[in-house]
Amino acid sequence: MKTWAAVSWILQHGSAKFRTIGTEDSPGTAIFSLTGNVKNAGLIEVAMGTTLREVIYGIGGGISKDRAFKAVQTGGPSGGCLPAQFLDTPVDYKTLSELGSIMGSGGMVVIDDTTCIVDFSKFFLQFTQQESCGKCVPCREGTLRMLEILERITTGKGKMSDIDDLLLLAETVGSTSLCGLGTTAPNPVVSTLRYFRDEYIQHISNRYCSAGSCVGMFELVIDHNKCNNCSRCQRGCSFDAISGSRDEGFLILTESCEGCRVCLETCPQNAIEVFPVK
Amino acid sequence: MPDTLALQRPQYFVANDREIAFFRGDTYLTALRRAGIEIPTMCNDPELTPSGSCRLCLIELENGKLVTSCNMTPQPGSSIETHSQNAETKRQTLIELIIASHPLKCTVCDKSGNCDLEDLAYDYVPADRLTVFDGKLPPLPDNEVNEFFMLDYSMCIRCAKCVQVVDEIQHCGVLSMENKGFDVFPSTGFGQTFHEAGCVACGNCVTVCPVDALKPLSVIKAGREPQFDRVKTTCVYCGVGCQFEFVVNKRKNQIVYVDSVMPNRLEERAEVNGLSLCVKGRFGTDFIHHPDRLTSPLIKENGEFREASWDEAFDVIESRFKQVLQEHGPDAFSILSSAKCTNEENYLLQKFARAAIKTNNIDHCARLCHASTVTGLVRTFGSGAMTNSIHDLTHDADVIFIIGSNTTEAHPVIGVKIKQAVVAGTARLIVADPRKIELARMAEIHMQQRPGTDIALINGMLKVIIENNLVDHEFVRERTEGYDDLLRELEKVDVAEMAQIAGVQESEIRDAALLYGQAETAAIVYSMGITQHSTGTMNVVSLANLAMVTGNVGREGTGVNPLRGQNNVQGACDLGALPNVLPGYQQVSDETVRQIFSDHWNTELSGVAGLTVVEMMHAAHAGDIKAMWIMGENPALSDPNVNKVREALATEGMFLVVQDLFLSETAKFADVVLPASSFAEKSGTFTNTERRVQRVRPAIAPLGNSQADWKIIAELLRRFGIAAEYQTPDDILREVASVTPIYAGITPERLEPNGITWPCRSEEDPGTRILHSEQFARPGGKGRIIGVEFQDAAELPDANYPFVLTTGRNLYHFHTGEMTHRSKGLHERRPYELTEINPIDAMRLGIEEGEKIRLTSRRGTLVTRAKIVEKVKPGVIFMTFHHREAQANLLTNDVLDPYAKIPELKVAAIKVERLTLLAD
Ligand code: SF4
Ligand code: SF4
Ligand code: SF4
Ligand code: SF4
Ligand code: SF4
Ligand code: FES
Repeated sequence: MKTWAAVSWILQHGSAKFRTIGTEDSPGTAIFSLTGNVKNAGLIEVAMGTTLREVIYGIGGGISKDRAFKAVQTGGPSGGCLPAQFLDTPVDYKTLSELGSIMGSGGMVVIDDTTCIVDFSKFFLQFTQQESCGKCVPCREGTLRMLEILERITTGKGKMSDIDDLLLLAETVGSTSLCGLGTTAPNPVVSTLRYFRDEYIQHISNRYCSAGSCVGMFELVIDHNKCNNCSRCQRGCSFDAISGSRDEGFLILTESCEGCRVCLETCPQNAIEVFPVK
Repeated sequence: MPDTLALQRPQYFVANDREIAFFRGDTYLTALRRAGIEIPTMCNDPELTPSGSCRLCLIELENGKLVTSCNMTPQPGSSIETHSQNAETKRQTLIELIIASHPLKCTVCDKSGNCDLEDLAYDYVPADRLTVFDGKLPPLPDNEVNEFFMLDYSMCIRCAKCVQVVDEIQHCGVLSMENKGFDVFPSTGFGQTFHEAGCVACGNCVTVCPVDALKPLSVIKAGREPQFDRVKTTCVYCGVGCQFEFVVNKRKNQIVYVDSVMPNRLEERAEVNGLSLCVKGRFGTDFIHHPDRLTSPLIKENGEFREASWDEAFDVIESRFKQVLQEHGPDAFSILSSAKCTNEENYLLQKFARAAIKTNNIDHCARLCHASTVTGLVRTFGSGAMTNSIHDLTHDADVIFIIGSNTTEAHPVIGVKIKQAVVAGTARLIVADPRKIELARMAEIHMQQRPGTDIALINGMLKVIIENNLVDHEFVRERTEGYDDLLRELEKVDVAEMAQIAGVQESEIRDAALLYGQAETAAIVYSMGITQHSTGTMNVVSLANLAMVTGNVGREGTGVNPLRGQNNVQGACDLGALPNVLPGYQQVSDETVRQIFSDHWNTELSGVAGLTVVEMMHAAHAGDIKAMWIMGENPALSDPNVNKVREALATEGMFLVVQDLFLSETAKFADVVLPASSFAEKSGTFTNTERRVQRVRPAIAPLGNSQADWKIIAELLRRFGIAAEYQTPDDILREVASVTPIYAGITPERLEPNGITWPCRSEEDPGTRILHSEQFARPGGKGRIIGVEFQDAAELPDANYPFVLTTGRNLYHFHTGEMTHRSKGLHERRPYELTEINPIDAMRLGIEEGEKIRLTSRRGTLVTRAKIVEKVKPGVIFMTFHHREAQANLLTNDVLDPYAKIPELKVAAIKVERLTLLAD
């Protein structure tokens, strides 16, 4: 689609003109589907070489609820994940692939600090694992075993050797699969391990999910300095795990909390904070 | 194939710093394997398209990229590594992944010791990583268990090799991969059993399974590879001559199962069959260990058999034979040799008849199947054998014309190769058969002629070919004689009338003639549907006419190709188990020839042609035969009009010796029964239908007190004063070579790996794949075209006997079932006769599916069960002759073809009655 759109533009304006847009290696424009935790989601067209920051904070209007930017996954399920340090990176084929991601299908999913990176890569892997045709060993067997390891890590059952095994599997699936689906399937895992290895290790050695996402691996605490006693958290909680009142303030009862994150997501003040289980 | 490779100039690449040659068609893997470099594979078989699914065959390219070697064409000058660190690590992980989905039960697994996965796990996986990736297990559909093999899904590694065999080799359509991703598994779909899905139990999918998922039932708890020996040999069932391995438990002297011979290089696979076998070869050899096997000589006293020692049995035979010889002379003997026995044994038995007794009364069951092939083709081509090879038939023919051969059931592996050629689009198919046989469904044209009208059909085709100027005039002029004779005959022929006689559409004859006549290369394939007629010889002559007129002889992909039925019927004929010829088709009436044999055997020989099988029985019936020796045949069931045969065998005062594996119907009439060893217990050679002489090797020691037939005959030769100091059958084969010009270069040493095809006239002669390529084998070198007039079968239906009975075979049985009914699986699959009748006839007579019916001819009557099928036309009844409880030959007509003396087994007039009272 994108190619055809470009072709007609080039026919109208000539390729010299086309080349003036974008970078030397990646002339022209790129179309992205910007989604996730951004204020303005949708299909966007930008010149090659525009920085990620311009895209996310400019066109996208910044992170929803003004939370902290954590990462952006470009290229769909077979793409890679880039952390904040690359926000000023220009978007073009060459740079992205150097950093371990791709333009790919043009997907651009932005996540904030409440998204668990292990869970995030599991989400993408699940997709490719289900799409596997099952013909070749690495993709049929390998993606499932990778998924099982991620599943283990996100349920607090990970072991340190899992990281090596994940990398081993990712490399094997990536370099020996029969078709593109398999060879790119490990990309999300590889890139998140590259930039967020600590978060994996935290999951394994401390049984702690700092994004407050993996059930049973975090505790939520209300920061009373930020809290404005709006009571939305209490009203949203299905487990009666938040005690208190608008007058006396609110308190999360750890023993009743099921980790459903409704409070975390509904709090307009971003007052609910994540801590390791005591 | 090696000889074609030799013609090519190799190119080179470098592997692990070594230069490797490769040829057109090679992949990196095939070239590396030829050079002796081993690379692990799990999904590869050289007969299958590389699927690239296991990914174990990795090699590293110069740029560090890993690629699979099984499906990549080598780049000249490239440099690769086969066991780089990177490739090896990936291999290890891949194997760890496979075993994560596979229960490692090696300690109790039947496959252990012969398992690719076990070996690879041993080589690559450290003990502490055996279970690293364990987790969810693959789906577990219901297991398949049938009469022959099983599929245990818990062991399946989803390599899809079985499905590839189904799609690329067997074309049975039984299996496909169901589901996707981690949930895939090979499946018949719809929860059908294999049989319901159309499985003919060839077991070719079973044999490629790399693990313990698909396996023959007979391997279960029967021992494991280290306890086994593997002995390569030739199948005993049919004339295809498939090569296979007996897997033997040596300690128990027991055959465990039959496996395909599967070296991992294509050029080392058997040329005849590769990995393919049919149900009989693969699952039907358990008759060898059947408790009915005769284990001791038997002597009949007062109508009862008693066990006797070999010495005693030999003494009785010697004295009775000598007595008959003295009192009645040599021609009071009749000797029946066997198409089941080896070349060496056939040679010895005819030597016994001719040298010891001095009679030419020796024949064998070829009389009943292809005698008319010999007479018909000798007349026209000068040599009565398949003109071309199986390989060129299925690879080089543009058109294959099959007439009177139910190839997929009677010669299953050739049938499957024809299917492959049709599916691949390399060959177009014409079938002429009274029944809608399996190949008819794949044919472009199927002419369903009335049994016994083949000459009309072929004359019609010839007429169309001449009318349309499709005659190869140059071939006719240079290579043949008698064309005018044919033209004269064809003047009388009207295509429409021929079509009417044959009961087919005129357009079908025309289309078939055009397709055959216009083809660059067209091959005729036929079998007993042509030969077993009172016009058998002339049927064959007609086919020869068709081939010669269109120049379809002597080139690849052409010819007239009779498919021989029994495993060694070709060899039995070649080696002179015939009443008119000495080994190598040398006439007994020819004095020069006789002199050679006289000198060799050191005795005088008779120059008078002897009696044929049916004539022998007639003579015995008339009391003219006083001694009969039958080796491994069962005329009391196989011959036409068996009532008369049995009376003949029971003739008072005739001394009958029968040598067999079992106490057959025939053996019951014997005075002395000799227990013979089966083909699994002896060595020698068989000659297959394409004239290829192949090895038979002993897998187990003779069972009980049985003896190889050649040893028995040699003993009797000695007792009649003829030298027979053979240490092994190889000595006999050397003697054969010295007196048989067409076998002159066939020595034991030259039989590896793929046998030799006769004529092979010297030790330098590589053998002959295609006959008549320069000139015909007739004196003068020209082929003879003979005009043939259509003549009706001897017995036509009439008011009293309104149906035509035609006989034949089915896939699961062989001959009279002496072997197949003693194979557990084969017997269970088809325990009794099912006689085919058209639904219209069945409805008219009120016959229901499976109901008992009575069939009666002028010669006998029997009761059988009806199978109502469209396969036969109204008015035609089809039955096999495999079953003791419904012996087709009680009904068949023993009228003979005047030249070949072959009986008309394919056409008899019968009546059909419903047997309500007997129905159960
Ligand atoms: S890599 Fe491709 S071929 Fe292999 S299983 Fe995955 S989807 Fe199928
Ligand atoms: S199939 Fe092979 S790997 Fe599997 S249990 Fe049996 S021997 Fe072991
Ligand atoms: S046994 Fe033969 S016929 Fe049956 S499914 Fe396997 S390949 Fe097909
Ligand atoms: S049954 Fe055997 S051959 Fe078929 S997919 Fe399973 S492991 Fe492979
Ligand atoms: S095709 Fe003939 S030779 Fe081959 S396995 Fe079957 S019976 Fe034996
Ligand atoms: S052998 Fe090449 S992929 Fe399996």
